[in-house]
Amino acid sequence: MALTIKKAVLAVACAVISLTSGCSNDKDTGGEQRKRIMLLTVSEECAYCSLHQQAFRKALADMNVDLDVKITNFDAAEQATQVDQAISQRPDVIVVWPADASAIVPSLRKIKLAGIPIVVTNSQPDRKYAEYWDAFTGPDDVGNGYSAGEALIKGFQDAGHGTKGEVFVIMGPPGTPPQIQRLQGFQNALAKLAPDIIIAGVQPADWDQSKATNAASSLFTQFGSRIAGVYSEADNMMAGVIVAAQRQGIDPRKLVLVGHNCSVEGVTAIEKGDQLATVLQSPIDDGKYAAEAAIKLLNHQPVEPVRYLPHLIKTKANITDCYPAIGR
Amino acid sequence: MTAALNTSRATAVKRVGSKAMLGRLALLIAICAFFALIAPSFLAPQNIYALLQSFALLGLVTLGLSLTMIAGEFDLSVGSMVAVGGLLTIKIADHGLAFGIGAAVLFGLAVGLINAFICVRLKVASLVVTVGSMMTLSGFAYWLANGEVVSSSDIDTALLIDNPIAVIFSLRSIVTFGAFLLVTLMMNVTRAGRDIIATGSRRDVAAASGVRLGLTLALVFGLSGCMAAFAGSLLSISLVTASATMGTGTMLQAASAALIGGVALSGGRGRPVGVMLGVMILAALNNGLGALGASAATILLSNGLVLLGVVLLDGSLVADLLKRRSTARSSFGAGLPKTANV
Repeated sequence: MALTIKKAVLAVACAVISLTSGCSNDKDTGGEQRKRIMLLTVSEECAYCSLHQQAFRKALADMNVDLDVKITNFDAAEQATQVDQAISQRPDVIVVWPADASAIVPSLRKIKLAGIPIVVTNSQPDRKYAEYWDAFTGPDDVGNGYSAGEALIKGFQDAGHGTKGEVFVIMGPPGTPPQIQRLQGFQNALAKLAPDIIIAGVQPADWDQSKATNAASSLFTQFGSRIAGVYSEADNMMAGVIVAAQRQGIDPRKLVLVGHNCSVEGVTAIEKGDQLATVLQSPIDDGKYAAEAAIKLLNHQPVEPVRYLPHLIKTKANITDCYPAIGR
Repeated sequence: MTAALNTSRATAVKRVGSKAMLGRLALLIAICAFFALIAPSFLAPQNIYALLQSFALLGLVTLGLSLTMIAGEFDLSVGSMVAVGGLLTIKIADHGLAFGIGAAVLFGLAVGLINAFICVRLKVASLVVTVGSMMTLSGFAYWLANGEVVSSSDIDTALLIDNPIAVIFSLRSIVTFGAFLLVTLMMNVTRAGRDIIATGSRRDVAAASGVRLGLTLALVFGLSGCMAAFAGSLLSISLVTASATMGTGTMLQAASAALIGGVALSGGRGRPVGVMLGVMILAALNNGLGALGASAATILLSNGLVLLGVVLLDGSLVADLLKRRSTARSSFGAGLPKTANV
């Protein structure tokens, strides 16, 4: 019996040692006490998230600081526990990409009460709680939506539609800040610059290409040839829209299609000519900005409370600007 | 003669169970010692607090689920119930937090009783019934959320239930420990506890012995629903948020923890203290790996390996020990009878 338990313990220890050998604990084992930054981030499965983390690491590579990374697969409960653990490890700065911009608020307050400087990256919680963090870096989603609106209006004019017609919108998970704010920005642009371009329908597709195909199919069926353009809150969902249009015999090149975030699907579709434009939201800059804010806090330098990513329109003419964002 | 054999078998099973439990305790200690050696912050009081916060959520869900497993059934709907419990709590919290929690727990009880009713009266397997209730609850959660993240602004209460007590505990973890204590008492002292084990061991024999099968299954499914909904309530208060997907992944983790804790899928075997050790083993493993910065994939893989290791070891250990005992007794002409639940 004792032997069996010993064997079990040994087996588990061996498994854990081998499993953790590739962990992301970038500690320098020797020398003086170095400053330490802890990044609490989200899924490694999404390309954007992965590039964000790579850019963050790269920005810190020559900074003589240690980096600990904790990852959750968009699980707010798990992230709350990670925050508790992070506080116990007493890093010099904590950088958080919230798994849920609402659920993170009590955790931010805990970090603040623990006296650890904090940078929130990518997803901004409600600004009324801004006292709980030192800096936010990431996308300005209202600005993103506004730029998409500008691109769509220009596309309408170039296609000879003037500033009149009907479009539909494929949006992210309802109720999430990017979904709400990108749509708001898009609506603001249309209301201000081309009020006769009407949003005929809006459907959620949860950042999912196949859901976007289904949603766009039903909207194309409902509105048919009245639709002259589509705004998708993410490029991968626009890929679903293009599939839906082709299935219904609609040439996507005759539509004004504007996506978002320069993902590989968007870049490919723009190069191919199926999609008109996208709005650059670079994961490289997103990660880099967060690292830069963390370094400033580490060095007790003044830091901008809010630093947004630029939201530049990219078409076939300047699509190569998106290459770094997709790792090309 | 039969009574003597049963007593002998019960004693043997109890001894084997105690040794298996000691094995789990040894595994937990080994995991903690291992992480304490390579991650010095692992034993820091604040990290123990973080570990117990994980235990608080998973423990409640696992405790409820394990009762259905001990009774020879399975409740697949616990994950969806966590989401619904959280949403009901936040939605109704405007009328008072107690109302919100009460509504969630009552709803969990009602769904549990419906599950039991369909299993008992309509004689449908619990896996089938609870797949249905899992999907229905998931749909209900999306309907409740109405496509939005449902949030509250009551951060003070969130901090109150998570506020450290004696450095390493919080109200949430104390509640979970309290639930384990109550269920341990129920299982060891009351007739209901004995009926649950009997129902999971040999249902026909249990029925012939006067065990109220319907009532027993209503109790385990009702408790499972209540505990999952309550866990969702506490989680949503802690996060000041609820969503249709929150906590839905806990079902698999809870099942893993219960199996690691020695609960038999075939029913009739399992003790709350073992379940608690199972939850602690998973929580310590995940916490330790998290302290080392392991990826989500590594953590998932380790959970699976530990589950496989414990279950395989446990199975062979129990079989081996019973075989030895049986051989020893055979030499005196009193072999142990074969049973389906050991």
